Amino acid sequence: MKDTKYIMSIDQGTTSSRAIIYDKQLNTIGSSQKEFTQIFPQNGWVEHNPNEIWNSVQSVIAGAFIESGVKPDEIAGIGITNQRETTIIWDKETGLPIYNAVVWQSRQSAPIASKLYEAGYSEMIHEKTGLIIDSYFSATKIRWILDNVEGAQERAENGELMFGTVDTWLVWKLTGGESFVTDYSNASRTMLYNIHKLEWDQEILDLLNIPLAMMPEVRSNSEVYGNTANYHFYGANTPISGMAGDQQAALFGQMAFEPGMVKNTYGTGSFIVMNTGETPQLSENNLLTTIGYGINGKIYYALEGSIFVAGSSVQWLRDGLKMIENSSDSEALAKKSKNDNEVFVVPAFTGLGAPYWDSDARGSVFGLTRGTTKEDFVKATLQSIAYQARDVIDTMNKDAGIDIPLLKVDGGAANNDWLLQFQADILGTKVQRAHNLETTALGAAYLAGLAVGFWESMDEIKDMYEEGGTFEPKMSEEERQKLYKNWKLAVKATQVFKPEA
Amino acid sequence: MKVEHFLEKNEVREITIFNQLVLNHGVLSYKDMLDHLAVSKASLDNDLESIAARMSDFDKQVYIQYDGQNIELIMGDHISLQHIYRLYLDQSIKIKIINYLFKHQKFSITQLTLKLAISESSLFRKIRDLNSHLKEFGIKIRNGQLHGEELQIRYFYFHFYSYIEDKTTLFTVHADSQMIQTMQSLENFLKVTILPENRERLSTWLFISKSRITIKNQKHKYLREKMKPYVKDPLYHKIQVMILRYFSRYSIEVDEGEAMLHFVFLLAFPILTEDDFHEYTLIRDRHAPVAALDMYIAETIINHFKFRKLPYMLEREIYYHLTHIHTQLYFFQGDIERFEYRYILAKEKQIVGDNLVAFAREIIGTSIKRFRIEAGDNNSLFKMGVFKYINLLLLLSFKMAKVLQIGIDLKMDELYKETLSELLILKMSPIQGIHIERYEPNKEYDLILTNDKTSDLSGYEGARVYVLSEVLSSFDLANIQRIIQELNT
Repeated sequence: MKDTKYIMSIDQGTTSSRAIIYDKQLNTIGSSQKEFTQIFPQNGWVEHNPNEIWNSVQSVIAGAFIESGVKPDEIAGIGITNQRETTIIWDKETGLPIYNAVVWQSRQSAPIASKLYEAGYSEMIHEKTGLIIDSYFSATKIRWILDNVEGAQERAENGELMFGTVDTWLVWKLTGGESFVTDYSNASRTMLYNIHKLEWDQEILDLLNIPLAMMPEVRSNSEVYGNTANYHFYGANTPISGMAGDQQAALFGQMAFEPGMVKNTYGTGSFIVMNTGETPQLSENNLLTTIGYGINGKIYYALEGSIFVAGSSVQWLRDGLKMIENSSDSEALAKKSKNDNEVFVVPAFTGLGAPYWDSDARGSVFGLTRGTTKEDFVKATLQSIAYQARDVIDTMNKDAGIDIPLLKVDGGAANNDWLLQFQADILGTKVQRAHNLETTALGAAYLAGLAVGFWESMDEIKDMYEEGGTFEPKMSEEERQKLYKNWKLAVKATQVFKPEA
Repeated sequence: MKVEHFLEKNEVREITIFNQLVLNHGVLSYKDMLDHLAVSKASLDNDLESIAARMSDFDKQVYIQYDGQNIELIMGDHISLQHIYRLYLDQSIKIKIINYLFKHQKFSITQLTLKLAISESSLFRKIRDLNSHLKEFGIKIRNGQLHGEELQIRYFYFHFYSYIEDKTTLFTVHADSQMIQTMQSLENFLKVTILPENRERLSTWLFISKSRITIKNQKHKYLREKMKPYVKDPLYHKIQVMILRYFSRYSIEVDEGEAMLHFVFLLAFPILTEDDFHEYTLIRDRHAPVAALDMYIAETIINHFKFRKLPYMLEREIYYHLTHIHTQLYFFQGDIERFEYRYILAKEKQIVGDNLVAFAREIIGTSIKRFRIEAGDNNSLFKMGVFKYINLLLLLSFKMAKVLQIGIDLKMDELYKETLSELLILKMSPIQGIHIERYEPNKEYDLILTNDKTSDLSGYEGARVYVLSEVLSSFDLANIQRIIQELNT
């Protein structure tokens, strides 16, 4: 056997798939990315073709090999990270999906979720799964497919069908149907997994009439799940040895291994995840409790809160208001602003998430004067991203009772120094940017590498962490309190404004 | 195998005369023609006489004039080189032998000498000659029959009836109701659409299959070996079921070899639409070497051109063409090099430049290596493979090319400047993906063409500059095309 010198990370996202090959020092040796079709059968429905996802993954694997010149048998292990909750059901014999993948954003199973809520199952489900009833999670999507594909329920009961999130689907395909598994982090986003007992919850399965037989085996985040079938990996039987949902992979990639460590990924929206340690903390403020990762026989739980509008508010400045030409211009404009932070933009375009949970709220702007400039407006929009992050982090603090010494950040907007400085100022907490912003793929690589001994221990990984800048709070406590109080006021005013339709 | 292998030596020379005249604007000096053909004056004179006699079939629509110095081709508007090739091929004895063999499956020497009105020795010579070329296909005429793998025999006939023998006579024969019915059943069963242009191809294949199906002891050894990775392929399964059901209505016993033949044909040639093929690619079994190679080569091409993102529909199109190339490479051996292909290839080489041709050769090298097939020089399939890859790369270059802004900034008297600029624009007009105009200061350009020999060309702000050696020269034009290609990738 050749020396195995590399780890491959497969990052299967909502709009594209990527494969990245890393060496031991975490240098990117080769990568490839491919987009795939977004299917919108009806308003609010979002679907993918599972075979197209699979094809795109196959393509990026080939692309990464070609670009890097690395041979398949030089790969020590494969880590997979994926869009979470997206639901696929396929035939065990033929391997053919019985319906499109129902994507996490898709609302087609909302009536099923509403029925569960109205029937009073919220508390039971929250206690067992740490989640709030929503069509976002896999459970109602499975029910929807079984209801809408002719004969599916019967086939499921006969053990002819398999359910999986994208990780399960990919491992099943890559191993030539040998491994039918998922990991803790993905299982904990199905709304069917008991995060305390670490098993599929029979009561919830019965409630939704989902046969246990179709559920995959739940495994830790770092172990060998199976080997690639040689015809799927250009002749090599390579171990698939790491797996995690995208946000949990980013948590691991940010090396947020200690309780109280928080990461924030600034994407279109923002995903904030806090490591809460080995005991699950159920939120009293509608944050989600989830499994961060399970490794070496231990389970680490997490609290998760998401902000609906983060980077997309900068896109709004660019595409909607035409105030900037490129997203990167926002930083320079914010720096030019001379005002005293009296403008507040509340980008509640699709409502307000944690901790407000007000789906009827809509975006608003406060504090305009005759002297308000474009620069002030851009600055206020960037600030809104930081204010919202503080809303979620304060709530996490309250729920978990853990102090937050450091916020680790990644994602596209983490390149914006001005935003990160303001984030540190408004939190009163140090903000640390990862040198390699691809933390999701890195997390999957770490998990895979640890399982096959490519890296010896988590300590070895910790030693490799490279920060890409630290931002210490510089704002006075008085100013911080004043600004955040005014933000809360702006949010309150936004929530009051509910015009008649 | 080449088309001219069906002709006699003097006929090939006559065809070459036509070719040379077409390539040289219809006129070539007698001396140049002699040099090109490398024959004696007497031979060339004989050829010209023979041409004159043969062209009487065209009723003065085609004739060659020789005034003692130049040879000139005069051709009617509705006549092309293809018609001339056809005329020669229609008179070919070798083609008649193949035709006879196809229609009767076997022949006796007596039968054939009578039928073709030639001597036994002449017949033997022609069969020997044919066999030397059929070797490339792995088939042979022996004891009055065609021997070899059934896949190769049908594949050869498919080429023969698609490109050599006159197709029009065939269609009246096989456009019968049974053929139409068969095609409709195939469409219904596979839930696919066969477009009219693909129907023609499919009906040729079905016609050949219909004629061959009753032949006993067909050989499928090689095919079965190659099909091993396909046993779980969903399309193959469907075809297997379809073939068995279809023939259960008749007294013909077929085995899975017949299904394999049709499966291979369906993937090796454009029969399915791109949409139907795409549906298949999503579910095809990855054991299949062709599926793996398609992906590998597609990614190699994307990586070569450094395309950050390829439009989804274009990527689908690439896969569609790659599968045809690769299925042929994987399953078949031999090909027939058509006259027009070689001409097009020569022209394309001038346009695409050496780099793209070298890359196409590299790709075929990879394909051959991955399929673990022997790359013999005599297999025309590899030559045609390179040609197909070149075309695919060209297609990709054209479709991905952004419109390059080119400014012409000639430093000379205004009168010449205007005229030469316009002439240059005219000369470059066939090049796709460019917008060319006279240079305007303060406008952004990707490329500036100038004859300014001064060393300071910094005034063009970031645009690439090419200094013309001689305005309108082919040397400059070739260099400009190379730069355009570089800028596009």
